[in-house]
Amino acid sequence: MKRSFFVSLFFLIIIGMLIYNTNNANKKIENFFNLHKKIFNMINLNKNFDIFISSSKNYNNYDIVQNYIKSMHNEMEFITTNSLFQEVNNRLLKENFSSIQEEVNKKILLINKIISRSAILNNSYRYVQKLSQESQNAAILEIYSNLLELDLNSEMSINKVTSKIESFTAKTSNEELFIVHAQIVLSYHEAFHTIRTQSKELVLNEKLNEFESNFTQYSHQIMNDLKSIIWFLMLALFGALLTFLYYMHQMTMKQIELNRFKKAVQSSDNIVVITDKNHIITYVNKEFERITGFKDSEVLGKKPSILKSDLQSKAFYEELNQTIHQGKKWQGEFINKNKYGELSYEKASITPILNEEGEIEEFLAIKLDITKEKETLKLLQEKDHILSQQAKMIAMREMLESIAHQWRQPLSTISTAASGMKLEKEFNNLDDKKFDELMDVIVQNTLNLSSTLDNFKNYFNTKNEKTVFSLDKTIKKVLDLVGYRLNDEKIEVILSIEELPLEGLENELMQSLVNIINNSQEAFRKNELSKRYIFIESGVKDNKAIITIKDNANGISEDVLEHVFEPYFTTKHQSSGTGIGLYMVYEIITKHFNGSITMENCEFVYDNQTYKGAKTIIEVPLKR
Amino acid sequence: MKKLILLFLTIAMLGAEELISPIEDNVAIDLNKALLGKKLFFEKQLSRNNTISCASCHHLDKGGDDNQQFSVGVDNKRGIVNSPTVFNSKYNFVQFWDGRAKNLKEQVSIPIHNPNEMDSNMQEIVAKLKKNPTYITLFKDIYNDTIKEAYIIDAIVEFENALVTPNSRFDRYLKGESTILSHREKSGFELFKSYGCIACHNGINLGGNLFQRVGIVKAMDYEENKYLGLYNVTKDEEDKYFYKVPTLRNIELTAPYLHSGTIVTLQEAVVFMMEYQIGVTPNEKDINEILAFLGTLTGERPKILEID
Repeated sequence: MKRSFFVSLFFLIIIGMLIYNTNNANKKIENFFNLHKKIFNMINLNKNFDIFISSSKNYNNYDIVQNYIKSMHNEMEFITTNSLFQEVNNRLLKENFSSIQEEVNKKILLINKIISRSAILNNSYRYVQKLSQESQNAAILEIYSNLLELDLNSEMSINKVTSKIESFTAKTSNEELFIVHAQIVLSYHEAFHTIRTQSKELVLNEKLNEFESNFTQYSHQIMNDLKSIIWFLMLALFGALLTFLYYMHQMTMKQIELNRFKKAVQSSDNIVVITDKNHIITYVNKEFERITGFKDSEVLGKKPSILKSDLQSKAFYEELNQTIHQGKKWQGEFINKNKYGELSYEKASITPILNEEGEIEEFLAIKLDITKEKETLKLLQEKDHILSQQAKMIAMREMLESIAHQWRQPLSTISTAASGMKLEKEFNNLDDKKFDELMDVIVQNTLNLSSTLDNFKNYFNTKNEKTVFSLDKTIKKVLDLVGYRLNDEKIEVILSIEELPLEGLENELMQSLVNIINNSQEAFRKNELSKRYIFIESGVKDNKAIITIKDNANGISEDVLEHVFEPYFTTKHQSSGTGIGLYMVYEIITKHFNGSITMENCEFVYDNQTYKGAKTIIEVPLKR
Repeated sequence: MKKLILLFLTIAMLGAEELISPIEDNVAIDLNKALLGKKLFFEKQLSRNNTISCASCHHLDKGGDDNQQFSVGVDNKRGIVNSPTVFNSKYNFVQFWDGRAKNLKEQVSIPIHNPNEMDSNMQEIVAKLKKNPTYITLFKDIYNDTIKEAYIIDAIVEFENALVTPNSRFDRYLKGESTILSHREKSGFELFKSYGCIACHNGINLGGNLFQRVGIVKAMDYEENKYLGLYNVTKDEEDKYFYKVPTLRNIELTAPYLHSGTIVTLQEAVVFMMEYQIGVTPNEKDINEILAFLGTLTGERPKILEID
């Protein structure tokens, strides 16, 4: 903006200078022309002077000569008072001219002398001529012809005529008058001649010509200078025009680009807010209006703090202000309030916009309304919580069932022993030996019960503390838990487990494995198979423990296989499962153990027989 | 080219049968300036003690001079030379008897400063005039400025330019009214030419276009003549007793005559000039005829004098 202003200004200045210079040049040229005319006039007037000087035998109207003189004065005054001539910076010209002025004044003085003398001479010549014509005297005629010869001049003739006049004796008044005028002619002739010679010695003409040629040369030089200036300005103007056009083009391009960005900002799905350095809002886009409910006219000139919900601490805002005033970008989440008091979550980034000096000019805030996402996340978390609660309930049921199963036999033994003792006592058959035997049985079985409980206590651990544990022991615990069911259903578990150290919540891994085993068990129930196997194997690959669990229950159909890890997906009957199993397993392995879990169908050979089944592969990092 | 100009010039000179030209009918002047100049011409404040104006020595109701040998200046001081007429002075090639002013513009301030005449100076005059609201308005109207020396001179010059006396009977004769002159007057003109008066009294002003020495044939009484003429300006011994040849227009009205003002009547002046300048003693008839001719040179009063 600034730049284009300067370009335009420059452009205007050049045009102004061009106009001024052209005008100036015009005036100067005209002035030079006028001066030149005056100089030529002076040359011509001087010629007229010379003509007058060399011809003055007639009666003259001296007005003519005086008019020449007046013109000469006028021309000289014109030149000396001419502004251009006064500006002329040329010593030679000035000297030339002042010597011309001197010469002219000298010449005018001489001309005036000539006029005075020629008036007398002319008159006397006329008298001499008239009187000689009237006279019959030969001497007078001779003097007259001698006087006429004077013009052809020689010293000799002057002396001769002088002596002739002096020796002549006038007899009549006319002869006297003749002699008077003859003497006047003689005396003035010489003076006149001297003055004429003096005037011819003046070199005014040469000086004028010299001045004229110097002046012409000088004016040519000035003209050339003017020409070059104008040429230069023309070029500059052309350059300025090109620059101007270039910037116009650039500006147009920038405008187009700006418009594009503007459009992008205006129609963005992000909220865009621009404030000045004092946090006064200068721009908001449509999305802002839509999300906050404020019209732009309602917020322009105000501060963004009108959106504050007061749910965020002072420290939060202080940190924000500190960051952006350091010229850094701030990123974070706002909990804001719209016009109607509803809360909204906004993911925001605030960028300070710096000027060329590096000072903060304004702030640009781009915010994304994430209220919905927040709500969804909250729902998900709630759902996860419910799922995990359900999983715990299932695990508890599993455990209780297992306890119940394992307690059944000891309890019945204890019951049998106790009722045996009572019976023996009734029959008074209870001797000490028998009592001890039966009591031992009861105590032994009670201890069994207790140890079973201890076994399960680990399984259902609500403490969420990570521990380091060994994979083989964990799998053993799992089998303790579910072994009786597998026995019931004649499922043979074939183990090939190494002792591998893992870190995490052991009971979660146990729950996961139980889940997988349950699924296999479920699959076996659908298939009447004579041989039922579950293979649990472990291995190490790339610092990871690889646990493979496969069965020979003919595998899973492909369309089911795709969805097995999704929440609430189940193939089981409503009564037997809730479907949270494999989803939770997936969550535990991938999120809590940073591992991975896949499920696929497989074919394998065992005991010379080929089986089909499902294979679950779990990879979890080893504890180093 | 030069030859051609020379030829043309010679022919033109010969062709100028009449060496006297009439005063132009219409003199272009700026009337407002001229009227201001007229007011200033009559303004006694131009003199030191407010007693003398230009008009004190140049009576415009008569011949443009004061008909005295020497004029009276401030404190009754007398000058040393006869006041020339102010009429038709624009046609003179120089001003003053000794030609010390090249033109009217140079002339104006000289009597103002002359201790025998107005004995004032321009600063003083400007200061005096500035006290007068009428002048302030007039200068403002005409020059759109305050009163300044240059404007005072300009206005007076403009007025003097208007002081021409056209349409004398002789001018009308020159312009073609051949019967307007009597036979006597015509023969007076012929004598004027043949005696050679015209040698010095020629041009539009019948004089006023050259310096001439008084006493060509017979010397004047120079002991009494302290006024040296052109010598005053040039300091050239040769120029002693050379004076601007005066105009013969309105000559009837401008007595006394000569720079010295020593000759009272026109008849005496003609006789003096014949005797001292040409060396002839004309008869009474010729003198009377010449006087009759000189009488035809009196023109109309300048029009500007009728305008207020």
